[in-house]
Amino acid sequence: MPSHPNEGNNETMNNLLELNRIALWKPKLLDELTMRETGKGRPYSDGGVIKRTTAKTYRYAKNYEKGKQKFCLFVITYKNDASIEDKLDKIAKKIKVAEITSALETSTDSSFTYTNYYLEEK
Amino acid sequence: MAIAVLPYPNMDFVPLDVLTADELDQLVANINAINSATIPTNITDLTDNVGLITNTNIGYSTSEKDTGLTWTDGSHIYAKTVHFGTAPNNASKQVAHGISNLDKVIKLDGFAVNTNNQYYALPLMFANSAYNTQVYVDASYIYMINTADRSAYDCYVTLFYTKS
Repeated sequence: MPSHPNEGNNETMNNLLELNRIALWKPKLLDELTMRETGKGRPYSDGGVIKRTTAKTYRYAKNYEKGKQKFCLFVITYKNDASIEDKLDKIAKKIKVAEITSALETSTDSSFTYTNYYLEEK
Repeated sequence: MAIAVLPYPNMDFVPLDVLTADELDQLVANINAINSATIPTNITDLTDNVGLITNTNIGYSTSEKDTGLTWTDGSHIYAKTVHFGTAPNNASKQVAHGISNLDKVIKLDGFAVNTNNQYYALPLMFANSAYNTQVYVDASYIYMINTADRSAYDCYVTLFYTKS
């Protein structure tokens, strides 16, 4: 049984924010870790239920290369924590090349793929 | 004649990002800078700016940078400069380069400067070969080995490499 309501559903879902779920996208402009802050009130999906964020959220994103493919991992979270880069690094090592290939095939400027990895295990 | 210098060069976005009015203003400023730049119209103009373009692409840095170049198999080539510190004194010295998933080291070079501000290319080669200092790299470290005292030489090593 999935440990998270959305686990197993890694299809492309444009414009539907899920907190703490790692997304895979084509490489962004800058390779290094970048962070953006957004005020509260953003709609997001919590196991299929639409809610609004109750505090600032932070988007962390970093480029990686694996199997000669360059890609970006990003995550949106309430956490403002320097350790998130380490977590993204660890997940980048875990992700399989086939999953990257599949995600990049459908990646566009606005389309990305959620992985089944989360910042914290549920 | 000048190539556009973007006032806000370090902006990047991913899906789901929400742009603030301030960031939109910064994007407009970047667009305006591009629009107001003179476009090179002849060989002289282009030649004058080769250095600028090259520096933008490579940008020597102590953090990992994508050079924009690719190896023969299509892999991206990255660059990183490491301040090695002083060369060893009749010994082997190693300094961690901090590069993860290092695959192929395409080029390994650098320089050493002594206390008289005299610059030497790495690896250190001298007319008296007893002072030569070997430089090599593995997955984790940069190594220097010699059989004489070269500790008056402060060294910088630049790696060009692909990643697995």
